[in-house]
Amino acid sequence: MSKLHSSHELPPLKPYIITFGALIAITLFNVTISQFTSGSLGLILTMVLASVNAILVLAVFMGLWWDNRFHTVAIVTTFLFLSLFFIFTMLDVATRDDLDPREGPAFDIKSPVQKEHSSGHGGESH
Amino acid sequence: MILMILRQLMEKNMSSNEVLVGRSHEVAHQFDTAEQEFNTAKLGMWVFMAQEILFFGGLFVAYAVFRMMHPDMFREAAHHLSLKWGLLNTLFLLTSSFTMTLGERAIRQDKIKQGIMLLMTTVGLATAFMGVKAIEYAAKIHHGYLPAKWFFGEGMDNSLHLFFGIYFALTGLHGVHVIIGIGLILWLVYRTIRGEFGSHYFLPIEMVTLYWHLVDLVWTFLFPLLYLIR
Repeated sequence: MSKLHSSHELPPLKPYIITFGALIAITLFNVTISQFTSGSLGLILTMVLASVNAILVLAVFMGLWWDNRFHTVAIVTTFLFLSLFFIFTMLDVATRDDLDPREGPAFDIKSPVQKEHSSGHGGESH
Repeated sequence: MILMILRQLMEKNMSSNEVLVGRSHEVAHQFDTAEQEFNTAKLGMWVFMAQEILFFGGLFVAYAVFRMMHPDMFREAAHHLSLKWGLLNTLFLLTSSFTMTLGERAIRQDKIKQGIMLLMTTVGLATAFMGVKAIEYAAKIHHGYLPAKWFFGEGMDNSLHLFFGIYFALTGLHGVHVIIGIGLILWLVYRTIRGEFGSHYFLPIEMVTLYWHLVDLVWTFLFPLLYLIR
């Protein structure tokens, strides 16, 4: 990785043009394959391609490639904590009825809120 | 009309082929050098963007939880969104990120006029993005695809309102960021016309450029998660 010597030095233009082309190409590719894949495979492929796009934006457009490494550390740490948030929430929600089956329906938010506005008490007052 | 006003302002502030000398920027008293000031601002900006990612993260986690609970509903819901409009908006935003970067580079190289034009192109693309969003929102509202108890749309799944709750929260919050971005870029254009920016000083331009890329970054995930579910 190359690093600029001062904040006033300008990074080369070429990586920006290549990145822009790549971002457009990956987006179009993502749309195309989403028409042929489905389920978990589709989700994984879509997310991998979106992440590649995100990394390109961070590294080139936002200049992390040439920037102070500390900024990269800050943003990578953010994504690590975000993934912790994801993992623990998903583990919790997915396994709530493993120990006590009564927990399952209690958290299964299936009850439709729709079409309730005609009935119910209180009407428009709240 | 906007272009005419811009031209008038530019003519008032600079003669045609002159490289702008610019007003001098004074380093704030708590900093020793301009370099130190720049680096401090940039660190602050990155920390702010880290916070923004966590801020949007909460909604993305809500998305994940509901999608895990109702995979079929999400698949059905995606069919109620227009892939065509979504893709067009993605292209608008990606291109605006690129023009913003080019605009920043131009101003840093003292190509002020070119820079202002590129910043205005970015504003144009961002406005187009919001226009498409307005068309999409109008259709959703018209057909009753709304969050929670306001939902009156037609659909096979009885929990579609959950998807539209997430849809409006995520795209709405993102839209607010786009509108703030438009305001910030117009503020940059104004200050550039006044001759405040150039190779000698471009800190606010660099910061707003970073912010604009962040808006693009969030959409990078929003688009596939909302429009590309199959």
